[in-house]
Amino acid sequence: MLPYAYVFLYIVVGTAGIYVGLSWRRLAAAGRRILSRGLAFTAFAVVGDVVAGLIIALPLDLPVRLAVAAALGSGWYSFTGPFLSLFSPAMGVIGFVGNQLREDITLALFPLLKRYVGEGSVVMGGATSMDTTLGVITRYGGPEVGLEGMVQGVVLTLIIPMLMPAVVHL
Amino acid sequence: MPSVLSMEETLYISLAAGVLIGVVLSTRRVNNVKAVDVTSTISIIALVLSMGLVVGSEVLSLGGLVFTVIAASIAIAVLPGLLGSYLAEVEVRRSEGGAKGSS
Repeated sequence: MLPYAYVFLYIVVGTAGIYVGLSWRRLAAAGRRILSRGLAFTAFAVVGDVVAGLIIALPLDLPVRLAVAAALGSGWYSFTGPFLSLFSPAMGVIGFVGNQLREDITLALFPLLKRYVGEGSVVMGGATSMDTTLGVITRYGGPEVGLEGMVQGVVLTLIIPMLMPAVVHL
Repeated sequence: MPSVLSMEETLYISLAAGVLIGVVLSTRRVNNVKAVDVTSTISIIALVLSMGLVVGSEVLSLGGLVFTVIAASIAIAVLPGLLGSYLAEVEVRRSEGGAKGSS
């Protein structure tokens, strides 16, 4: 049963790479300001994920590295859940449901977050801000914020498959 | 046959191969996005199904962990995004304040 999960995981990561490769022209065309702000958002997304993972792990008595890895999923539930379930079924469920909910919350509450928090609310979308939540971000944040979200989503999609195993094996 | 590469190494190779294929495809005029979408959707469904089998087969071992799983899932859905958003917004306001001050 488990080897199939591995194979499908590799295919999902491979196709995510193809998406990144296909959109490199659009990213190259994006302005320097958009690129730098998108990269800054990526950094804050990673910092927020790590700090939140640590905060969540302690009171709930979860394995710290796996909790941080689950938070680092940044909404990419189809990667986080299966990856963490290889180490602990319970953490697999937490990684999957938590990140699925993060995507849903972004879709439902981004207009509200944008009003009360501001442009930085793009970080809530995490890795999904380059695909599923890009529409709602662009609609309520404008095209420039949408592009910043896309930069953030692409970079997070590239680094999550490297960061997560690194954190788990720290 | 024993595996030569570790799981992490295979993940990195899959990602790198995907990016290379994407860059090559982006130079062609043919729109390949639909084929990639179909491949990605099928593999995500298969991945989620196989994860469900792995988790389902061990679900009894969760036992009293159910409350922890629900609480942690909700916390992971809300806290990292909100924390990152506020940090990013503070930086946006700081940089915009600096830009206005220098102009």
